[in-house]
Amino acid sequence: MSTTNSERAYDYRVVRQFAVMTVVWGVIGMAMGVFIASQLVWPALNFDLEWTSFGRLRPLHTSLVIFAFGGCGLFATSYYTVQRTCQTRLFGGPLIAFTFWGWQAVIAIMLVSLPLGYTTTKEYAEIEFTGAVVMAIVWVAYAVVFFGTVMKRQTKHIYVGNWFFGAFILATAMLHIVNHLAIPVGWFKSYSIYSGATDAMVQWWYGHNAVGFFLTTGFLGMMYYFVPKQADRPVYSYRLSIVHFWALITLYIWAGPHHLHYTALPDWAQTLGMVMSIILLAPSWGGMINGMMTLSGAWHKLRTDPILRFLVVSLAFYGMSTFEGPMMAIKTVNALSHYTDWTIGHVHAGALGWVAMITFGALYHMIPKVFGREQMHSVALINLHFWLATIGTVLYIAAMWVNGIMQGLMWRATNEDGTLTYSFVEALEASHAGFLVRLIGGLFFLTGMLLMAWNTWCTVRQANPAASQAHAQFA
Amino acid sequence: MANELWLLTCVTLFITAVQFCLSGKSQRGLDEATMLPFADDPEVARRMELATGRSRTGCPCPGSCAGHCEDWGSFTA
Repeated sequence: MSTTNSERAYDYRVVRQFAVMTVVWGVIGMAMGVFIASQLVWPALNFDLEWTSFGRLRPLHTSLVIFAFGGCGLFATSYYTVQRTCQTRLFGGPLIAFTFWGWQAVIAIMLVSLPLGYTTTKEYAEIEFTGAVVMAIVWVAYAVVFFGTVMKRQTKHIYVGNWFFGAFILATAMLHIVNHLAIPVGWFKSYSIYSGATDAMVQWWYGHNAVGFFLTTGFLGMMYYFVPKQADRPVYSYRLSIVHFWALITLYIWAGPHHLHYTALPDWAQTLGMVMSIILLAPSWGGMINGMMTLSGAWHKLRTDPILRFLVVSLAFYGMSTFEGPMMAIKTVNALSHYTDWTIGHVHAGALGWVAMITFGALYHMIPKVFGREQMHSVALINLHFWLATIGTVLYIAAMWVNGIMQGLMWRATNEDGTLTYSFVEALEASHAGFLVRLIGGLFFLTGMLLMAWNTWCTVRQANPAASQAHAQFA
Repeated sequence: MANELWLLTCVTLFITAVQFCLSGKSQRGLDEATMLPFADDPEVARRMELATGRSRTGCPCPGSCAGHCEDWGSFTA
């Protein structure tokens, strides 16, 4: 589709590219998740090959859904939002296309290097040295494009959604660079400059804030734009959104140590992580309430608008997982939950319920507009996708809660003489039913994603360049 | 001691940042910022104005006024 070069039109080309790739990577990343879930049910599916083993494919799954699906979604929506709320075209010229192709190159590096076993072994930061450097360069280009656009805005104010997007971009750059500081000994082999407990602390400072800034702050930027637009209502309280922003920024960065309870990390740091995590409940729920209350007077729309349903249910899951997180950060609760499937369930309550659902809602709102259509090809399919995603998420997290608590209790059970009541393998055998329910939940979610891909394909195929260009014009 | 110091730093940073962002901002200014998602979308802005009675420009009167309530009368269904 041709794109107008007029300075009086928004740049939709890169938005379209990232939006389509979000759907493509969503299908691949979630299919990978379903495959590794089935490996836990039927271990024979590892095929006795190192490239297809769970240990190598699991980091590929997390990298694909976080950086490929989530990352492309964030690029698409932030580029769309920043242009429309600043009423100006994207800044950066060739840098804009570079961010798209550069990001796809990073994902391609992950796709090849992780199954081959090239890994830093740091969770969510597995990409080895060369890939990490490319990623950092692309990210800096992204920051230049985004903040350059904000700088040349034609509006007096910077909309709060852009604050969240801006913080996500800056914090992610800082986290990525600091955690990836390493001495390379080859293109895809390096040694971290940190060691021991310091290395662990830096990794989980990164790991938790990958959740905090990549998977929360960026998607809150999405929420603050797309919920008001889809609900036809202004955000409930702009003041609360500012308080929400600063509270989140000042608190999230300190919560990482809760991943290292009962380890060699100094006790004060563990306690600090726990306390900050508990306080974090306040801004998280402040934001959730602000989003929910935006629907004041518009709740009836939920009956007929599946896009709004996606956005609101994502907020409900956000509220649920940000309540669960602080509870799991309490040391005594963590003693039961840590290393069990409860953690996997918690992560997926956020990943499926919050991140994926708000992305679906935002994309269903945005795709017709950037492709010049009134609405998606089939609203009925959006509705079906909504129910498949919701049922899939509930099945997934319920199975992991049951498994997690059962595993925690079995691992800590002792006989009167002090010996362990259950061996590890007995706990694993008992988890099998939960693994199966998790796989079914994942299949529901993936089916919904496939419906979205079909719906997107049909919408894109009927694209109307003239209508898209008309929508892209600004005063 | 380290715990208390970190908490104090966070609280200070939080209060300073919120004060900096909100103090001195008029209600009108906040309303203008709130309405930015509707600023370039007349159709959605019209629906929002009809539903909420708030102006898309952040004006205290409803309707698509230019900021001085001169167009109050234009706020019709």
